[in-house]
Amino acid sequence: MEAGYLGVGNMGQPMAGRLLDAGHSLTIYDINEAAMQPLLERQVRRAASPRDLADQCEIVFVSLPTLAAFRAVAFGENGLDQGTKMKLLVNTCTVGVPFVKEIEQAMAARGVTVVDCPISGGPPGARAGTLSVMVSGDPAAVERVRPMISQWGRTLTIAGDRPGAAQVLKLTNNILSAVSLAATAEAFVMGAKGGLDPEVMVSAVNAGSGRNSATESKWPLSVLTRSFDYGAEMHILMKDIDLAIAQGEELGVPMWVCQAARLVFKHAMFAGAAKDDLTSIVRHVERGAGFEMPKTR
Amino acid sequence: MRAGYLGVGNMGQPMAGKVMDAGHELVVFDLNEAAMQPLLERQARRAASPRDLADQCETVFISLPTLGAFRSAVTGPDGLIHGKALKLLVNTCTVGVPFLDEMVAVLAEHGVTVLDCPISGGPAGARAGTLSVMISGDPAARETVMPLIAGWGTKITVAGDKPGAAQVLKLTNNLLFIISLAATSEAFVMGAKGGLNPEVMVNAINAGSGRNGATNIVIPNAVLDRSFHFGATLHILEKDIDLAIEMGERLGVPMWVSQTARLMLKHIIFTGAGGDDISTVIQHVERGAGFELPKVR
Repeated sequence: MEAGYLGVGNMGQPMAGRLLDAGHSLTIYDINEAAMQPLLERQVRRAASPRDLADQCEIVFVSLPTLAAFRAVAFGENGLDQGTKMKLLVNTCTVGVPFVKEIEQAMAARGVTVVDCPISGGPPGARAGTLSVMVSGDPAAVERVRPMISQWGRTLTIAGDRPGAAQVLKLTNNILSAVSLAATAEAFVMGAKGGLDPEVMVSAVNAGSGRNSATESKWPLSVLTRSFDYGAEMHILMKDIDLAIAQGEELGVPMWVCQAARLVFKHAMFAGAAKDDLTSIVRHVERGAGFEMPKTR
Repeated sequence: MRAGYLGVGNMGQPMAGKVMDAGHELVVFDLNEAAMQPLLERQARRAASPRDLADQCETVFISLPTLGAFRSAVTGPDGLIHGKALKLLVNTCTVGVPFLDEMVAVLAEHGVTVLDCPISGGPAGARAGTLSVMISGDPAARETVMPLIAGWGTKITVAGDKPGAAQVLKLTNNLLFIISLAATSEAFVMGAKGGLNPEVMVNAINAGSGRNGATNIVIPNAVLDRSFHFGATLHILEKDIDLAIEMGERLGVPMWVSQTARLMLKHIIFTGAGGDDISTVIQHVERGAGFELPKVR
């Protein structure tokens, strides 16, 4: 199949790569020239603008880091909405329900169907093809893109038949991921300051009830190594947390623990951590404790 | 080998059973007559008191739910310290470092070595023999008990050479579990109130970065079927999180998320829920949200 891919950064690049691996042909666009380079070396075509992409492709995937960037490529100058060929827009971003509804309505006016398809698992999961793929939207449109989106991971969950349901699912997942990251930073600094070897902690906790995605994946890859290079910046996670809390407040759900995790990340952001890797949250807890975990890998 | 087992309740009973499965001879004691019954039917002998147990056995395991029960079993009028045969006490309880140090000192005066051996995985893990076993203490004493505890789990982590290190490890694990339980309760009520099927959430999240001990075990086994019978009470969690926070404060580690999870749990227990199953935390979030998750299993 043929498709367009808009936004080939940390997530988009490996996800577009999986589509190429499966034999699909791609046209891509990114404002960052360097981000496109690895894909261009694999015989993809490049578009001159979002509009150009939508002039050439019936199906367009969007993987962008912020709501503002999404809005600009969708409705800005030379935006997707001015293209003549696009019929199906596949959103892979975590943008929250109100924003998806806004995009869905505006695109419907131009005869474009939106499929909501956020993913979970971070850049390592995208490279390995082990993402958790959540999808919602018109069943026929979902079936049409299934051969492509199923390349991204082993688990494809259909959250509902309207765009937005997959956003709720993704936010539920990501708020749990964020709470685990903050809590693991706290608990591991406590254990290490209490005299434990972080390797021993990871090994026992992952065999016990304390296991979570931070202890299973982020610690072994980016914290025990002190490399803090998991591959996603803190402001991305902050966006997801803010969207989840907004969702919870709109629905009226008491969220004590999630709200506390939000504050931990907010304070790190205030200290200038927006562009730091999300695993560097542990350094903020360490600074507060006047103690650093040793490098064990 | 022959050993004594003091406290054969929710955890102690299946763990004592595993020791018998491995061909060891067991003498048991519990204040609750009914708790001993299944083991007595398997040819375990009963002791008349903790003291009687310590008169008959060189090695005694202790699995009791509270610090008060532990202290009186050790130092009370018919306590373990008055027994003549006891040489090694194996503590499987989560009691925190200061309490354990106190017990180590008292027992040392009577020539008894303490091995610290808390476990993680709950009653279900104890029955299945899949506990995460954490152990610390004198290396020779560790070697002595290894054949006895081999049936408890597939994973035995040595936390250090002094009693107490395994407590720190266990508290790190349990703190993470409690936070996961609290945050998962919040996030699942948010997602379900937002229109998602809880079954869909469990599937996607356990394949994604939101996975944790609660989404893996508690939600599938006790919440989706609305049975709320995970098999451990909120009192146990309260003790563990109090011990963990006390340790974090003693060490000086900022623990925003952990402290909030503690407050949430405390407020639930203030309503009289201490004896309820730990999976009922979500019912308190549901009450606050004016919404109930459907029974889907």
